[in-house]
Amino acid sequence: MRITEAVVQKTLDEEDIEGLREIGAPEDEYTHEAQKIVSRLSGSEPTEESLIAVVREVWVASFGPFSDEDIEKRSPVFSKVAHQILNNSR
Amino acid sequence: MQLGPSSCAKIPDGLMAAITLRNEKPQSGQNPSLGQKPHQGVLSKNAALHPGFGLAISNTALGMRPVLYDEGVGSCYTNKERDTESGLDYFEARYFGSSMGRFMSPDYEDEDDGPVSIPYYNPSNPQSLNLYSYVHNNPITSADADGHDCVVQTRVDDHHETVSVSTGTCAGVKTGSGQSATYVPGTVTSITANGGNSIDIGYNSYDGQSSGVVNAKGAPAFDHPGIDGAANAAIFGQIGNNGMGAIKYFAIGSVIGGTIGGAALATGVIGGGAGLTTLGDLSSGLTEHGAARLAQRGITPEQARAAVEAAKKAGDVVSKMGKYGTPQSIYTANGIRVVVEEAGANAGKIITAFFK
Repeated sequence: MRITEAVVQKTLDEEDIEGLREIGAPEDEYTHEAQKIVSRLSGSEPTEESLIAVVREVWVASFGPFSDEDIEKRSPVFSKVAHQILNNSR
Repeated sequence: MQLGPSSCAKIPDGLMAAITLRNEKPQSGQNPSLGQKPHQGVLSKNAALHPGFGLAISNTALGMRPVLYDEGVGSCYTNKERDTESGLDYFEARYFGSSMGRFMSPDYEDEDDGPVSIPYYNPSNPQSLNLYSYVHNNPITSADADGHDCVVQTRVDDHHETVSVSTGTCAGVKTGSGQSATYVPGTVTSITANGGNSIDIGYNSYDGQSSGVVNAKGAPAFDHPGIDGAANAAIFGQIGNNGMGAIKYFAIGSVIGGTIGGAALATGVIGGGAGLTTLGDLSSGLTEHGAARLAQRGITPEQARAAVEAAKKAGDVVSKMGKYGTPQSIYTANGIRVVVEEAGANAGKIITAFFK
């Protein structure tokens, strides 16, 4: 299984975690985050848990700082994104 | 406040006692009346007006109401004691000369070190020489809670610090391990991170005529015997391995304890996944995502801010709640749409911008 940037970006676009696409942001809105997630994985095969952690960390760096409450609110979508990335990569 | 005889509205109890002591019944054959001028310093009585009570009215040769004080008797103004020899009222820090309506010494004196010579004198403002005036006689545009502020930085841990502002100089502020106090010659108006090493403290000057910025390094490291260089190195190495851009994290670690606190104030998450990249971007009013988007799309921060200002003037602003309940504003002008977070740690920062 190889997780590609295209798969990650497609997933992030679909989930639109921050709701920026729905207010007119272009398709490349989450390209930066997709690149960072793939870079973090360094070609390894992550578990769903480790992938969730990577997505969360990248997100906090890009859109944070977040309060614990902010992170908690996003946790379900972090999990969903990680799950989707793994599914789309198989 | 200028004190004068006319402000004497209440006679203290102690004074009444003194009057009563001199109260005497009129002797037979005497006919005291209002027109009878009493002797100076001697209280007379008019039984017809105040039966059984001393009349607290007498005139001196100068036509002034007499000084009705005795040793240990409180003043009728503010209950301060009067020195019977000098005639001055003792106001604890200074003596007040009621006959002149002014204090006998300036209103700025250090109890321990003696008088302070004209603090905060401004050559361009002669009013600054007047130690008795409020905000240099310019109360319409100036306010002065105290005239000085003191900013205290307190290190929370290796990556965080808190900041508090109090009025007054830092002279009486005690700082301990992991704390620093910075004197600000005015009223603090803002505190912002300055890169990753310090904070900038904006203030309005004492006289309200100017503003300035004081730069303060982050709070010092704890005086903690359990954290030595080797332990720190191990911690920072772990941080570096854990995050993106390990070199950046390691660079942070190499100076932690000395100067990183200021940046932590602004972000609150240094070492928590953001790192210096985020700090740098935040200091310019952009989230990391915003900085990356603008750079990729060829939009400079200045263009984005100009679009925000133009949209404000044109009224082309849409306020909305973000997906997670944080208010955001969408500004559209100059062909650019800019999204700004309006609350939380990123309040006022650009999340993204794109050509519209």
